[in-house]
Amino acid sequence: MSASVISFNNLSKHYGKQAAVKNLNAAIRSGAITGFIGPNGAGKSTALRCLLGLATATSGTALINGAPYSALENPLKVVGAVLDSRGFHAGLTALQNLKVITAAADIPDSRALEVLEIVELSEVAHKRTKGFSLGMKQRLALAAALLGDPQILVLDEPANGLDPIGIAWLRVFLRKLADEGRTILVSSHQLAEMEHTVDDVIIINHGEMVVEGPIKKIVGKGTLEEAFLQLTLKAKAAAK
Amino acid sequence: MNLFKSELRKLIYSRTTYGLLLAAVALASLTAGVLPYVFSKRVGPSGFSTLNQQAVVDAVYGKAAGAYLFAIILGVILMAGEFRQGTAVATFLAAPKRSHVFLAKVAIAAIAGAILQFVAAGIAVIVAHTALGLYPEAVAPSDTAILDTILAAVISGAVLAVVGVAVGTLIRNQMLGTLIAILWLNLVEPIMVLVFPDGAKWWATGAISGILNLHVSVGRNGVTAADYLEPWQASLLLLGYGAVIALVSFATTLRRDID
Ligand SMILES: Nc1ncnc2c1ncn2[C@@H]1O[C@H](COP(=O)(O)OP(=O)(O)OP(=O)(O)O)[C@@H](O)[C@H]1O
Ligand SMILES: [Mg+2]
Repeated sequence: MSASVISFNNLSKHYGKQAAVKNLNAAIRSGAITGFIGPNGAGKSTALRCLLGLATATSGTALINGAPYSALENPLKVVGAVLDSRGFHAGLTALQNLKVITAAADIPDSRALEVLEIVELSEVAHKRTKGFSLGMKQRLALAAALLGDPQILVLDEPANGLDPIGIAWLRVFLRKLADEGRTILVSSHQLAEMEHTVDDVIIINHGEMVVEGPIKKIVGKGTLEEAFLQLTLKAKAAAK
Repeated sequence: MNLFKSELRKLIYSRTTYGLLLAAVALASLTAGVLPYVFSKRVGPSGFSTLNQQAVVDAVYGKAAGAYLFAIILGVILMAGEFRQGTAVATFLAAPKRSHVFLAKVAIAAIAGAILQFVAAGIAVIVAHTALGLYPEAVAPSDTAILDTILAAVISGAVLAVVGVAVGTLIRNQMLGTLIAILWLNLVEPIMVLVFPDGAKWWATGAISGILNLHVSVGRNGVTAADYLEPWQASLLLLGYGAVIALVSFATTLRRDID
């Protein structure tokens, strides 16, 4: 069997005594949108930061195409990421912020204008990001993730700060990217909003996986929210 | 090479860089412009103002290289600023091998620190020349004084900016890193030198004085220029301190999770 595009293998991450992620095992299907779902504090961001080499796992591994992120030759051309903690230099323009990245990843500068066009920020390309709204920053983060035209996208709460129109836009946008054959792992604590966006889900709670699989199978006839509540309650009961 | 280009862009796009340059020019020019007045009021054994001594005039020019603190701050900001702005995530996503980022920053810091000090000292030398011209008793500097000053400025700028990167790597908090660097050089070390005057040349400030190779015994607390290391020895000593700080940060902060 070939290596999964993204795999979490017994991944654990502790902060002091607290386990933010506990023995997470999951594999992401290629060419699909996978929702990484769980309530606040479930460990989503922590798992993704381990995957992207920003945080060191306490034990276990998180791999991309079978290798750790740090082993990727030119990572931005393989994986594009949006993280909740990602910031832009407030004193630099949107374009300058992107050109710092294109230089580092050996991507042509013209691509920076292209991705700004894609996320509909061309008009503010030469504005300092200081005055950007949350939604604009989120779009800029998406633009940055697309710079290397990666086949894999890892997005931590990309809908944060977007208004309903923005969320609808994002949904269409992600679908288009997936239809182009990309693999997308997108986290969210907003269950309702994910239901119509994703193909597969991984649900985690308190750092542990509750369930993974195609959304249709997991949700059944109800809603994602109902399925989530049921499954987490079941998991709690089983733990007792 | 790519990382170097990226670091260069961060530097030239950011207004902070130009602010630091302006501050360095202002400090060096102010010192070099005011000192002739100070020395003109001091009367030497001959009954004339001390400006008729070549060593004193050389020291005025030497002060043109005195804005090195801004090179350190530049270095600190180069790394710690990434955490302040939140750009560290983007930087280390593009280059997950953190030591490579560190080395690119060291290289760009050396060049930027040298340029910063070159410009500051160059302008301050002109200011010093103009200010000295106001005093007819002022003698000409020694043949090598101006060249020495510019050279010392460039070397100290490069070396101290590199040390600054190491400090900024160890201390991720930009304000704290800058503050510690300033307090260390202006408070902690002067006090230590007061307590242990014999070890003066081994301290960072002593090494900086060694690089600047002050030609005159205006050193504090009876420490004179003759007591300092040679410029090249002092440079190596400072780079050694920078290397130690960097190694400590490699083992600690540079590995830490990036939020
Ligand atoms: N740097 C850190 N130091 C200590 N504890 C942390 C750190 N980062 C996360 N945690 C803890 O780990 C747990 C998981 O946090 P994480 O941010 O991964 O959750 P999340 O699923 O992304 O939540 P949200 O939906 O709120 O973004 C939380 O209890 C959090 O307090
Ligand atoms: Mg999160």
